[in-house]
Amino acid sequence: MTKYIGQRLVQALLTLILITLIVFFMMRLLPGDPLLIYLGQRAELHDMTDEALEELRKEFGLDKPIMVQYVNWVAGALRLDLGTSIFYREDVGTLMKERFPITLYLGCIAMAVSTTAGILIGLLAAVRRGAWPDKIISPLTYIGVTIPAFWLGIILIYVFAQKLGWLPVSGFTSPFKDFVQSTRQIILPVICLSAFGVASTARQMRSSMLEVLPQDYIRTAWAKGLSERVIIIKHALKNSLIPVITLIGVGFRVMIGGSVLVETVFAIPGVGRLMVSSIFSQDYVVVQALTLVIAVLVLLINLVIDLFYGWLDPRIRYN
Amino acid sequence: MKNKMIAGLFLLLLLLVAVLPGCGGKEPAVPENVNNENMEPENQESEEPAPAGPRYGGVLRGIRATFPNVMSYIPEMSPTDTTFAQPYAEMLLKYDDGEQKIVPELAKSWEVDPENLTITFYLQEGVRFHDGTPFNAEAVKWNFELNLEAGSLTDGDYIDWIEVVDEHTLRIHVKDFTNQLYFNYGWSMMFSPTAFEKAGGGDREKSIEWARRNAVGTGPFKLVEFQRENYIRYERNDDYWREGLPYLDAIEIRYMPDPMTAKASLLAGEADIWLEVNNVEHVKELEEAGFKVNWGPGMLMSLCPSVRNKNSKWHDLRLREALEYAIDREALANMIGLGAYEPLHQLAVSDWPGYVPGYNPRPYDLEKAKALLAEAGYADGLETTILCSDNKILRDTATAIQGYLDAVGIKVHVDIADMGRYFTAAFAEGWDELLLVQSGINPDASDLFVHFGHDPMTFRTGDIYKSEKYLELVRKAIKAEKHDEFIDLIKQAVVQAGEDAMIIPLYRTRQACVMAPYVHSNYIKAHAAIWNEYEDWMEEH
Amino acid sequence: MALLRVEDLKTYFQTDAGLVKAVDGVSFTVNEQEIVGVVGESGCGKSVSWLSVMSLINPPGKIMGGKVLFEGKNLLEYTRHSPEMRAVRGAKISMIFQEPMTSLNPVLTVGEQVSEMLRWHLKMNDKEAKERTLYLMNLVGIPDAKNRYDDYPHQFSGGMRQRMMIVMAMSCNPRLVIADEPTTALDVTTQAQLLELLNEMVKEFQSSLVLITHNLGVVARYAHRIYVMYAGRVVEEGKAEDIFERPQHPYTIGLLKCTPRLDEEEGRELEPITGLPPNLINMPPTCAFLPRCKYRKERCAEEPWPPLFPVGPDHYARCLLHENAEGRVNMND
Ligand SMILES: Nc1ncnc2c1ncn2[C@@H]1O[C@H](COP(=O)(O)OP(=O)(O)OP(=O)(O)O)[C@@H](O)[C@H]1O
Ligand code: SF4
Ligand SMILES: [Mg+2]
Repeated sequence: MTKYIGQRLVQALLTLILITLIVFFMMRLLPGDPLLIYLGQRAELHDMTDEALEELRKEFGLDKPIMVQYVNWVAGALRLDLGTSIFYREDVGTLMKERFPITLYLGCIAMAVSTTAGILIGLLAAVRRGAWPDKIISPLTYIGVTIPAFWLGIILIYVFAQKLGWLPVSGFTSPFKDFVQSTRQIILPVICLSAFGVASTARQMRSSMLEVLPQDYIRTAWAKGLSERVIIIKHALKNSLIPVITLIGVGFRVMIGGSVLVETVFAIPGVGRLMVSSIFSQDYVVVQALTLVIAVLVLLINLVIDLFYGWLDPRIRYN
Repeated sequence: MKNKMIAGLFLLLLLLVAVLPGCGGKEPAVPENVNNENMEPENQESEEPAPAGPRYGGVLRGIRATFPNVMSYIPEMSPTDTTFAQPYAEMLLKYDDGEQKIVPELAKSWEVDPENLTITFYLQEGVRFHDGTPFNAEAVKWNFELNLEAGSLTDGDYIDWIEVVDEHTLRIHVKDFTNQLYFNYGWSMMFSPTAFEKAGGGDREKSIEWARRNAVGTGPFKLVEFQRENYIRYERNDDYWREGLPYLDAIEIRYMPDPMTAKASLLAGEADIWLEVNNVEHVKELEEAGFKVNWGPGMLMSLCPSVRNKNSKWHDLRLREALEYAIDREALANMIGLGAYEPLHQLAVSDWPGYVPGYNPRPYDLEKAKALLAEAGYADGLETTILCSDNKILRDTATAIQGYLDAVGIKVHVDIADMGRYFTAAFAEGWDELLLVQSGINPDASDLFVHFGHDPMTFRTGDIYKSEKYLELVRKAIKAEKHDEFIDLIKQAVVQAGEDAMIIPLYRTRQACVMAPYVHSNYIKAHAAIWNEYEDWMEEH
Repeated sequence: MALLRVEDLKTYFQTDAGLVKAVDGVSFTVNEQEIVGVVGESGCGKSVSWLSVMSLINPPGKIMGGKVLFEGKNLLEYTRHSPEMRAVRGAKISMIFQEPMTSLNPVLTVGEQVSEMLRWHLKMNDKEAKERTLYLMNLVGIPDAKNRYDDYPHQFSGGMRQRMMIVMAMSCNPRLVIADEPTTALDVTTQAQLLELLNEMVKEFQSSLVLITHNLGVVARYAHRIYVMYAGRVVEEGKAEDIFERPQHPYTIGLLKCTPRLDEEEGRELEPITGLPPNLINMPPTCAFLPRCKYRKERCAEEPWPPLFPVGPDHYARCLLHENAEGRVNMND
């Protein structure tokens, strides 16, 4: 097991180094000078002498050779100093502290919802295969995986906020500040964020459950006189979760992507939106830092999933 | 400062439009009359039962698709930052759109003396910053110097020295005269020097850091809360120098990048006012749903041929003329603006003082375009490229132009650049063939200088053809001492630019501000960048 | 005294190709502490019959009729998920399956897979369950049981897994163990060991055993009585020695001719039964063995498949040759 974790860690580290290289050089190779976009945005260029531009270049360390810039960046990142945003005029760490908790808060709830709801729904559909729950669930999950988060958001807003007035249209309030309002505000975004996850998890769960149920060891469990509940939960669930867990990793990545749209639609000041605006303005400091942090998160999640695999499947654990 | 603010609007618009989803393809009914009179808010209000008059109280809840970053450190403030600063900060002068002239704000009057090369501002008395410190000539000087040091004051290099004459009189000694200077200097926001210095405790970096997130101005409202890209709140300044104002208790603005959500917020009653709406379709829909609309001036869209290269074909006047003849600007404006945009035939728009009534040097005429092409030796047509950025309005416009030019044998390749490449071309490195640009529109016709330059080096338009005659007129104009003379020269310059086919003006976009029926706001009415928020009020609702 | 009586059991599968009459009216009797062999070619319905007894038939299969009388109750009156049926399964009638590699749950420890039964049926606590499991593991000869209790199935060899299956089957001291080809997947030595073990265990626990196999050699050694199945029916039943010494159904005769016997000294030429077993969909009403039968008479193609005729004491055969209890068939004919 230790060896297994060790291997995973080394892999993760290598991936991380590769990611820093890609992220760093990709941003620099994009056409256009971020400083020019920044200045253009505030139309300072016509007042701006070449010396002043150079000054700014120096301020952001852009005057040094690119390899030196890369090393500086990595060294900074190791000290948890991710640089200063050109556009926000703010320490990227501060920006992240503002944004990440919000995205993670929503993301974790959505993750929890999509995994538990997905697994339960898929389980129900599989166990009652062909009966009415399955007949309702299967088409719904199909819609769930195909509907774009953006449209779902707009439909939800229209129905539940604009027409019925049950929930607020948009916005985000810290749960520590006003828990009720905060919860009311996140219901629609969470539905939106988790729709794909619920649907895809349910579909995967259903099919992998249907694969597990006819297995010999399930027949053995029946022959042992166990109850259906014990058979499903203890004997079948753990086995059928193995492919579902992979999907949760995918779901996490889809969710990061989805947060970009959902945060835009629901006016939530999260990291997804920060990403979009920074890409637009080629604020490479922010984009680099965000990509790095997200990459680390994804790697961590993958690591957790790998460990979870090991827990689920002793064959992995012991080989 | 002023120039920056307005010139930069175009970029804001780009950003904004870039995040809007495409509008549906259906063609809504085109209103019969799109001229300005019809857009005037007076008309609209007269249709409603006259309200009893301004009422005190209430929190105006606004939404907007752009958001500020820097609260009060002027050298880093973008045009967006400036519009958000208006409730808490004021300038020495401002522009009255109705009167079409510059009017006092923190300076109750001013004097321009071309002979002695001085500009003197006489300041309002009894004005205090929100921290209680007095607003006086010293404070103004401090603000100017902060900007000068950072190189962020428009025409700052004209300044020789700044003299504090007395508590309420400030005199700027300049090295040379132009009639733009007093306004460029007057269009500068004033913040409390004491608050700035105190926040840093002697550490300038700390002060700047503070000024990015905080502000202490003189405005009718105080900045009380700012959450980046989320929420901003202003509360009534009870000691405001305009007696009995403002009416509102507070204003809060939430960041709402998605227009569908913004619309839903208004319809659900979660917001009272939607500031700066660019999508005409949404505006019309809300108008039908009973919302009030203030139309603002928007941007000037033009096609700019480059003469950067010595042997560029666009040096040939006949080719530039052919371009202008070949594009049906009425149809184009109608198609892109769904009836809300004004087609343009000269550098000036119809409500500018510099507008030359009826001047339309090259109305749509395919035959003339073809004849000019043939005359210039391109009977078999030519190939060219339009560089535009990746936003819907620019893309659609470029595609439409591609169609028009195809009809006269000009093969157009539309080059859609990402923002980085587009801005690098537009602002720094220049472009080779045709560039599609949106520029802000200044109320006093000084746009001519901002965008098209009184010198060939002026930013972004260094590549367009500027005749000696045009430059001469513009140089003369900025030296004019009398307003009438100034306007007359501007008109001549507009005509000269037209004769030269310097650029091909296409249309003027519009921006709107949409509000619930009970809201009385002058936002955008005055000017895209001006909000006399102290006059805003709300009916009981 | 009969422990289990199966009467006229019918189990059909509704498939796309048609109705498969996998088991079409079989009757078995299993007495206390008796070892009963069930033999027949692959696909003749052995497993389906006994899964039906356990009410473990999954859709599209369905038990269409018959009775399963166990301890005076007809198990078919209970639904599959009923507590009554669950109380029988595993506790009173247990089953050992053919595939040791896949019949154990890969994600649960082998010990737990036994203990959970003890806790469930016998309401033991964790400790008692573990103790009994370890005791049984020792009994079936799993070395180092204490340490292997927490192993997962993939850490066990095939033979060891089947031993665990035996532990599981015996754990609740069942009245009847159904072993469905328990050794087929194993090598010959292990097979012999396991059968011996199974035999000892049922003796030890005084249980009855149903030994399902298509290998007559296996049953010859242990079974007291034998049922020979063909195409979803019993074609011959009788005491083991009768079946081996005096087989009366042409199919049994054929089967014996192609089976090497463990107790045979000199080599005998093995003769395979020619032809293929019938398709169970749309079977003709006549004797199912007809196309492959060396003894068939003209009548055989006209008369329906006959019932079981007595051919000796406690010995029956489903063949027209015995309609009038006349001529016995000699295997060497
Ligand atoms: N799930 C099913 N669907 C359709 N037909 C089935 C199903 N299960 C069994 N059958 C049919 O029932 C018949 C009897 O199958 P069964 O498993 O009882 O044979 P068997 O005698 O145990 O053979 P083997 O020695 O191969 O185990 C087979 O011919 C098969 O076609
Ligand atoms: S009934 Fe006829 S065909 Fe069938 S087994 Fe007996 S002899 Fe053969
Ligand atoms: Mg079988």
